[in-house]
Amino acid sequence: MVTLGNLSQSAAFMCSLLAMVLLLTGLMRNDLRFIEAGRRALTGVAVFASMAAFSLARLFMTDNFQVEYVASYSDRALPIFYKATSFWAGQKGSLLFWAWVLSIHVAMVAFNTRKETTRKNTPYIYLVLAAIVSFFFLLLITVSSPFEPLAYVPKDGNGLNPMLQNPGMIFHPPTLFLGYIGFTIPFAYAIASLISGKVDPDWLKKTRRWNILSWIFLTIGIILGGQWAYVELGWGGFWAWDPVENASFIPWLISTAFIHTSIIQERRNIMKVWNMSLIVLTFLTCIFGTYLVRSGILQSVHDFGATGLGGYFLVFMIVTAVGSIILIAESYGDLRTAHSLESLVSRESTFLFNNVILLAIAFSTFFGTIFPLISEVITGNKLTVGEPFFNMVNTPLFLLLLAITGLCPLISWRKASINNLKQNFMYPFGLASAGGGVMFGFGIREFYPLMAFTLSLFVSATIVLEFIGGARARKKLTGEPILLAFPKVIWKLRRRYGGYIVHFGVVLVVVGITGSTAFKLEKETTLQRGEVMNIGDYTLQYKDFNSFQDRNRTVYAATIGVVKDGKAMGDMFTERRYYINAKQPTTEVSVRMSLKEDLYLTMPMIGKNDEITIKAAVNPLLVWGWIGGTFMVVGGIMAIIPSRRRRLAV
Amino acid sequence: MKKSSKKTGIALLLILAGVGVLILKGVSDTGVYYRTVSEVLIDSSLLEERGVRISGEVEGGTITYDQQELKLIFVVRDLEEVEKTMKVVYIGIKPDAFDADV
Repeated sequence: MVTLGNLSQSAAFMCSLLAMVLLLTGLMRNDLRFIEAGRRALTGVAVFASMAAFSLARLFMTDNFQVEYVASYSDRALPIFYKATSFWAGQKGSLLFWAWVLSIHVAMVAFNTRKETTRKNTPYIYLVLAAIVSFFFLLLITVSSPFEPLAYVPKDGNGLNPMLQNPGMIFHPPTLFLGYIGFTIPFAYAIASLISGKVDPDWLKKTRRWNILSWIFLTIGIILGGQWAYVELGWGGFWAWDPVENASFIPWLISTAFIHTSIIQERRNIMKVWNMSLIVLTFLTCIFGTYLVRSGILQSVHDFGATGLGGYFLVFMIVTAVGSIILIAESYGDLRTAHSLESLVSRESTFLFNNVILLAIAFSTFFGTIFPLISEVITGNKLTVGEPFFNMVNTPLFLLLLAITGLCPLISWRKASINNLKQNFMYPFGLASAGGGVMFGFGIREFYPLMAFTLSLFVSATIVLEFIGGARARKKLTGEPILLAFPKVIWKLRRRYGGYIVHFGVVLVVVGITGSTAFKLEKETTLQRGEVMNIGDYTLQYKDFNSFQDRNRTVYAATIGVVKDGKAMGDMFTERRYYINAKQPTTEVSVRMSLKEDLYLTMPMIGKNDEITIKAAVNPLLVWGWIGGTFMVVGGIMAIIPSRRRRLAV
Repeated sequence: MKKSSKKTGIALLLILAGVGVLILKGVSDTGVYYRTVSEVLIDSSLLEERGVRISGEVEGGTITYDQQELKLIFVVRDLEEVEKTMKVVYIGIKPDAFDADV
């Protein structure tokens, strides 16, 4: 298996090189046969990459600890599906995973475009993709091979970090990766259209689904990461502005901006340079994310430490950035548009403002992330910024963004008239002000939470209006009853309404985040058996303590009886686990979720005579964040369901 | 340039200026210095600056923890000049990852 893995990796690399040579030859000789051969070679890369991936998975399954990577991230006692996930637990395996998934994406593109090889830009798409794939396989075969053997065969492996032994490990890394990797395709299309001088919006149409699909995966990955942190790491939060979290958030922000302005380009044929730049930036920040984890330049919980790969990624990013800038500059004349924005108050301009704010958040997040490096270079002092910085800078920006989300659908394209504004604004604005007033009356007095809730109401109202308006218009047009017209119009215009559903998801996420951060209750108390503590409406009684052996860990569990407003709510169990192979214990969180609030318990300390320290928290409305995330994903999926069934040619 | 795009431009500039101010203020209000143990020992006024994060290793055998009062006391030594140490008192729950020599 080791040999097969090594050989397949090398073969994949050779195959991608071969593809590049064939494509270049085809382009120089203007010979379609070479292009076609190059296209097939690209598919071949995926075959070899899959063989390499299969080999590594097989090595994990068969406990082959002679392989350094397997020995570092697995052991015999590890449950079988965590053995599978150990594939991407370390730097080298995750790099192979990346290269493998990318090569499959590329093969899919090669398949989808099999009838389009005569187009001017198709060979360039292949060429860009081949170059990127070969970069990853070059790293794998030269400096970062997961198939590297040890000089001896250890009896057992080091095991998987207990924190990674969580269902989150199955989905969080692969979905994030799928997001990162997917943006390679639109990037390749964009670059290809620049090189071939075919700068019509064709590339946008062709890659719209890739974009949104990658965005969906990125969204799922980020949300699952938050959930994982919340239920597994036990510090009670879901987002810490950790450098690597930021690194996933930055491309999310930029791709969100891109998805919005690509609509403008499609409709009005403006902002071409802007869109080109955004997709390049999205791709670059995706690579930056993986650079950050693999370079060891910043400390992070996600870090692989210094791996010696940083330099390669840095060079790759610089080449990509410089190359893209040159290409965009060269085609600037072709990309410049005849039209421009017609009015400050128009649908287009709200998109522009939304973009500027999304990019501002991306920039401040990027700036805060690399700030220690900047400050050290400039002042010689290492100054760091943490959570307070990001919250302080980004909260007002997010609120502004939320306001624009609400304003956007109320403002018509091109130029909005005063009457039109008055008419559209009346209801949402009235409702939001009234709701804000009520919340103020109920004691929500702090500015940010009050604004966040009021704006959420405003945006929800505009979305509801939009749905009703659509249904009414269809009823008028077709004479269908409103209950039939409603689902039909949503399905028919699912691209647009999918977007609104995503927006509604964002609103729910805002509600969840605001509720659980602004109104959080937290308390730590040390208890003897039988003692009680109070938090919010809850009374918690420490009832029982147990310890037992479970496969690869020793578990200490406390039973806590929960009483709310005098009513018994059952028992909760919180644990500390000591894994055989790990020095540090892990905390097993116990959460009681409800639509109103979460009760969140951890047991950070165990003392003598079964004395325990309980950390309890009440997180209001947090569940809505996860629900909102689901809405975002569902809306996104709705927006990419193809609009027409393609029939087979007879 | 048309009047409307001028207006849009001004609005954009205002937003960017706002973002710039926010970032600057954010750094100056929340920035935390990253110091080593020996730097702080040489100039203790560094500790009185707004916030300091100190890098060093926890000396083995110096950790005492009072579970009732959640009070953790230990000694930190400099990463390079190991003879330089300082005592730290921490109030709160002992973090999972806290241990000697890390």
